[in-house]
Amino acid sequence: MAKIPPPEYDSWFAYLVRLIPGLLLCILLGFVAWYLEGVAYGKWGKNIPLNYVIIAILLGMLARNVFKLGERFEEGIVFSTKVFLYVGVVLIGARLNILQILKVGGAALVMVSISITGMVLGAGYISNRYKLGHRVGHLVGTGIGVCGVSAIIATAPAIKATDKELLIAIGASLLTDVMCLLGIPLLGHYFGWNDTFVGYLSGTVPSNTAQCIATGFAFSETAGSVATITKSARNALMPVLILVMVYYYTRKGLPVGEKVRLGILWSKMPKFVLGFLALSLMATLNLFTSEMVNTMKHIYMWLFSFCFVGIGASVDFREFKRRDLAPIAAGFVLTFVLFFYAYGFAGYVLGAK
Amino acid sequence: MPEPNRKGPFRIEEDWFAFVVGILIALGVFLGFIRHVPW
Repeated sequence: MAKIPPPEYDSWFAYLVRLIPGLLLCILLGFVAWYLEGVAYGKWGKNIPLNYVIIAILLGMLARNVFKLGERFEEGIVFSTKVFLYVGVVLIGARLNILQILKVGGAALVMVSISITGMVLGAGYISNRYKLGHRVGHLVGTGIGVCGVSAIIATAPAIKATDKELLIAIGASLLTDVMCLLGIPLLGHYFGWNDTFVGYLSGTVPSNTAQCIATGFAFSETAGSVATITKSARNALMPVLILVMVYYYTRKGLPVGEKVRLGILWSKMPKFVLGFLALSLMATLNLFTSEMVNTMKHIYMWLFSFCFVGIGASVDFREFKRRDLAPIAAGFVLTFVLFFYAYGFAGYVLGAK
Repeated sequence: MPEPNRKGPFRIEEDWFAFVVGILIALGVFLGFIRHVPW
C-alpha cells in the first residue's frame, strides 16, 4: 500500500506521467480478463461462477501481490477504479427505467439508512469499548456503512482525523470488501439465491462503490444493476451523514474541519449519479433502441473490466502483516453484522428472497 | 490502497469528468457515432 501523501503535480505532463502506467496496466489486464472469460466459457459453458469480473479482480491481485507493483502504478490504478466505474454506472442508467430505480432505490434507501446509522454508532461503541480511538471508530463505521474509501476520505478532514487513522480505516474497508467480493457470489450460487436478493446484498454489504458493483456483476447482470441502484442510494446519503457528523463533533466541542452548512449536501454529492439518473430518464422516455442499449452495455462491460483489475490491484495482502489488526478485526465484525442485517431486511422485510 | 491527494492543481476531477464522459458516450451512441461495440 502506498503512502497517502500524495503527489502534488506541477503540470499536466507530470500528472499524465504518473497516470499512464497504472492506466495501461488496468486496460491491458482488462483485455486479458475478457479473453480468459471466453476461454473459460468455451471450455466449461456459461453456467460457471467465473466471469470477467472475478478474472479481472484475480489478475489485479496477482499483479499487486506477485509482481509487487511499485508506486508509479498507484495513480493510474486509483483513476481506473473510479473513473471507469463512474462512467460505466452512468451508462447502466440507459438500461433502467426510472420507476424501477425509484422502486428499488426507495426500498434500498430505507434499508441503508438504518444500516448506516447502526454502523456508525456500532463502530463508535466498539472503538470506545476496545480503545481503538474515537475517530478511527467513526472512520471505520463510515467506511463500512457508507461507501468505503471515498466516505472515509470525505469525512476525515471534517473530523480532523490524522493520516494514520485514515490509513487504518482505509485498510479495514478494503480488506473486508475482498471477503464480500469473493464470498457473496459464491454463497449466492451455493444457496441458489435470486438476482434481486444478491443485488441488495451486494449493494449493502461491501463498502466501496466499485466493490459493490463488482460483487453484483460477479453473480449476474440483474444483480449488478440492483447493486448499482442500492449503492447509489447509499452514496447519495453520504453528504447527509457528513453533515450530521460535523454537527455532532461541533456540539461536542471537538475540532472540526468543516462548518455546519447546507452547502455540504451539494459539494459532497457524487455527481456521476446524476448522469445515471439522466440516462435512465431518457430510457424511461423510450429514447434508446435495443441496439443502442446493447452497445452501451458492451461499453460499460469493457470499462468495468478495466476498473475491476484496479480493484484487485488495490488489495495488498502484506497489509495484514503491517497494520494494527484491531481496527481490521472490528471492520470484519461490522461487515458480518451488516451481512446478517441485509440478509434479514432484504429477504424478509423487502421480500426479495 | 489509499488514494493520492486530490487537491493538486493539475488533476482530473473524477466525479465531474466521469459525468461528462458518460453523457458524451451516451450521446455518441444516441446520434449513431458509436455502434456495434464487440464483447
